[in-house]
Amino acid sequence: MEREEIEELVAEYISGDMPPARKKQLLQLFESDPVLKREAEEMLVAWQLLDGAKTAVDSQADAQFYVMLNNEKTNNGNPKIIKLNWLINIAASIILAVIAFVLGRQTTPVKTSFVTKTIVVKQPAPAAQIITKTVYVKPDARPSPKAARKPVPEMNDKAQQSAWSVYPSERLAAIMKIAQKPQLNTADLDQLTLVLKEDPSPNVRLATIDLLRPMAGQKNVQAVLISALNDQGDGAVQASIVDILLDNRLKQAIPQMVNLLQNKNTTAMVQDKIKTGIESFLN
Amino acid sequence: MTDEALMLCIKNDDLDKAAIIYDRYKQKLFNFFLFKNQLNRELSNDCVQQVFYRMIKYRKSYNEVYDFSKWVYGIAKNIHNQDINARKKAESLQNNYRVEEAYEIRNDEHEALRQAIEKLPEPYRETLLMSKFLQMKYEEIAELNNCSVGVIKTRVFRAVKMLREVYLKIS
Repeated sequence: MEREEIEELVAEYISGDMPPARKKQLLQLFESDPVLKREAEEMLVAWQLLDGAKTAVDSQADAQFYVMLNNEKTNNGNPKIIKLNWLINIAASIILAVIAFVLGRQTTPVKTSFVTKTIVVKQPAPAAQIITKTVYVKPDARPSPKAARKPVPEMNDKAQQSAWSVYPSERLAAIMKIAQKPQLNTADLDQLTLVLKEDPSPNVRLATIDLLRPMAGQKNVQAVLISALNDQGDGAVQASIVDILLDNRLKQAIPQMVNLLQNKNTTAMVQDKIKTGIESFLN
Repeated sequence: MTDEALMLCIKNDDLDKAAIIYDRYKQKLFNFFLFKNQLNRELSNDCVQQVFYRMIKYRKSYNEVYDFSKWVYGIAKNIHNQDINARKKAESLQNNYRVEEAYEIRNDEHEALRQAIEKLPEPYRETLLMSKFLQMKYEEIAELNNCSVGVIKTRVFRAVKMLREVYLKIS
């Protein structure tokens, strides 16, 4: 038998963990080798001596263990609570943020400005009708192009200012003043154009047409009359303009006159005038 | 209840069962560490505490397929290795030197035996401690050390033989 095999048998022998067949084999070996037997017995004594070397654990160690165990038990119950606390913290933070936001919006002064606009309504009225509106305007708001005010001829003198008076009599007086001028400049002509298009009073517009009648030979005046034709809703005014256009045989006014002809609101008198005039142009 | 059944309870957060395991293993582990740590009781006690602390901390990693004693020994071995590394660092920092001491002759025969164990080469001592103090079978020790059972038996034989010789010298 090899040495290593013998060592394995003895190791099993001293530890006591040996199957009966192996023990029988070892006992046979001991009989043939007394030296090995003595060596094995001495080793068994040494092995058993080790039991005496065992030392008891300090009682302090037990105390330490139970403290640690209790701590772990406490911590073991906490994870769910900790997770729940996290959720509560997050929810509370969100709620606080929302409350702060809402309160902040309500308490912070809003930067606003108020502009007072005075709007004068150009309309014949027994007394001046002035509407005052308070309009809320954002600080950075800019007027839209559509809202931009229509360019109005400059009003330097009193006559021009009177042309925009709320009283038709004053406006008529202003037209008369313009008529007294020996020659009309561009500003006067622009102002009269505006009167023709926007003045609510037919009398004022008729006065303006009478003013322009002598100057109907001028191309700029003709253009004013032609452009103003379709803006008129009053039959007398329409008829006056058509008369001037026909008298001066202004064929370029035919489209505007046709428009007027096709308009259902145009009076029969004006329609007859237009038909007759156009026929005369064709002949 | 078997160790494995108790450990399954601990794994399922029944930590009270850890006390039973502690009672079963404290003595074995303490003696195991005691002879590993040059008979330093305080250090050995700390190591035992560490084993049970990790056993509870990493209880979810316990696999019931494996033997509990092997699992615990794995923890104990890791702790011992970490402790050795820490001590080596500390010793190198302190620039200490150790004189190869002569056998301290003491009247206590158990003390002489402990000293004799300490003088064993590490593989022999570890195998002896696992077999004697952790009461592990040769097959289990072989499995843990990734070697054959024959190697373990040979180590035990030689360890006991050397122990006897050294002990006789000391005493």
